[in-house]
Amino acid sequence: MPLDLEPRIDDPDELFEALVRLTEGLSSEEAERAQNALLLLLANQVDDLEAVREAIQLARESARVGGAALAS
Amino acid sequence: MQQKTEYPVRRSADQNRESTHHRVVIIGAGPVGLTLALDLAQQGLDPVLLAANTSPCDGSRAICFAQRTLDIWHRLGVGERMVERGVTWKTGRVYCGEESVYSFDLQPDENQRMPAFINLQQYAVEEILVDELLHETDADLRFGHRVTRVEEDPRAVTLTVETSDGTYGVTCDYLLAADGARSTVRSELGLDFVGETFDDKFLIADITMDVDLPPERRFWFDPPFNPGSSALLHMQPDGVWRVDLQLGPEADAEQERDESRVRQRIEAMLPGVPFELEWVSVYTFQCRRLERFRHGRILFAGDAAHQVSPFGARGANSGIQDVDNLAWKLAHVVLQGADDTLLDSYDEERLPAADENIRHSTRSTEFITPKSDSSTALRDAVLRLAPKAPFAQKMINSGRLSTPHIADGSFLSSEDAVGLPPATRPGAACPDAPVSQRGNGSFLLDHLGGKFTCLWIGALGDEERDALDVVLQMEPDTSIAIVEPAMPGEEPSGALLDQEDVLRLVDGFGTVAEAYAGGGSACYLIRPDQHVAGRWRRLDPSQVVSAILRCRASFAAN
Repeated sequence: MPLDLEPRIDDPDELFEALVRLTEGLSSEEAERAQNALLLLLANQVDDLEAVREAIQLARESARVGGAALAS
Repeated sequence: MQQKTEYPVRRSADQNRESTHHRVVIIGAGPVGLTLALDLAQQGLDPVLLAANTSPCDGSRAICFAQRTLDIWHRLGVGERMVERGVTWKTGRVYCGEESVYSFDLQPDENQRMPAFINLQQYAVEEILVDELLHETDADLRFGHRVTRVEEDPRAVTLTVETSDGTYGVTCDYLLAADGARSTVRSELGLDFVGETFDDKFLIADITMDVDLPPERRFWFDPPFNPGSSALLHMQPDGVWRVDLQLGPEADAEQERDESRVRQRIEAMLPGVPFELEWVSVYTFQCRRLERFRHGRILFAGDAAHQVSPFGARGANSGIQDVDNLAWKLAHVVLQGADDTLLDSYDEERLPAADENIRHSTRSTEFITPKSDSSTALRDAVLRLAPKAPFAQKMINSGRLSTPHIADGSFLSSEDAVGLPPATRPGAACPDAPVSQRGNGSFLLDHLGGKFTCLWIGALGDEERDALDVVLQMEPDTSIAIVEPAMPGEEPSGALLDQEDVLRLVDGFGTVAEAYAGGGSACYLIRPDQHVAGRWRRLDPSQVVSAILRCRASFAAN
């Protein structure tokens, strides 16, 4: 399976903080644009269409109500 | 239930005089001030401790005490009592909704004297410390003596103290402000905090209930009983449980303290479980610190110096580590004529420690209570991925729990040797490990601290014997500890054994050599606060002695 779900970055808190900063100070429209731009940049960086497809599949599953742990 | 202990309230002989001078005065009888008083008293510097209160704190308040704090208390002789009275735990469990998604073990290494954490009510901690101070030391504890004015000039600090029996004045060489978040000393000096204040309100309720649950830290994101918010459940001694519920920024503190409302919230969390309310509090928090902790003759520690959110147990624990850092320096300056600039290294080492705590605490807060819709969405994505993706589990931040700060780059540290394990580098607190002495098992940390210790890990040859003799000749006040690999049939011998300060230990499992020398041999200089000052591959007396001088002199000389 090409998609690696193990931690690959040493400091998970640093990573989370960096991702939070992506949308800091942006309007909600701008934030959505930034998120989509980041998605494209990272997908291109991954350089593995199979892994991207797997990630898409998992992301869709996690997003469905009741499909993951979070009930809200 | 909290049994109210009353402290002895006495008139001081100082009240009969115009003004009395003391070397060191501590203000504050919380865990930080009391630990400092105990440390100083054991170093032969009997401090005066002034405290407005006449009994331990009201309510449980700080409850989580981390391994490093327990190691410090063990060095001071009260660690075992804390552990006996507390609840030992090491597992944290995170729930999303009703489902457990992740758990973590805070003590992978079981072979240490002290557990990863105990939970113990702050008032119980204070009682144990006061009991030890009253019965085992000559510290001058003055409960019911409230400091109302603080003035400093280059020669001394002058204090005005109010009691039920009149007002009096004292002066001192050094004043330690451990008087908490609303520090009188801080406001008297007109000092401000730098940092962030958070809007979210939280409810703390301590309840007694009879349930059979393991002693784990349980944290919920978005539980059905507190939808969209967080919750925490923690075990304390005597059947008491800490409930901590996020209320949101709009909550009305007054209404939320109302008993029937608190009961409703807890019944929703623990349906059908009978309970009694012990203590209720509604709080907000700050992540901030003073710009400097040393202001001439006045030094700040604990909440008076810095404040963090409670997630991660970084408040009281960092305060105890502040005074662990400060006590020996103060004793060296006051009793042994070390240069006063040694106290600057307190700022040098503890400001970055406070920043580290504030950084962790701020990040936890931003994860638990995200500031914007998009950071909430990002946080929720992490939680939703967590059941399937281990990397996302690692990103769940319900409070990264207190670990000791490593004072990298401290002026007191000597240059590091190449190739030794990073965890025990200069500036780090010594990790514990099992050792034995003439067949009796003990732990390495039982034997370190209080003084400078030259620690040799490895076989003891002629070269090391000679080197240790030179260290002792040049710095007779140094403790020597030798941790040798287990070698069957060999009896320790030689002139060194006749010396009282030479301790010979056996590394039966090779744990010490592994942790400190990557399985080989090494020489360490350990500070009185059990932190590494310097380390070398070989035992070279001139390097050890110059490392001691570097600590004791000051960086004015560097």
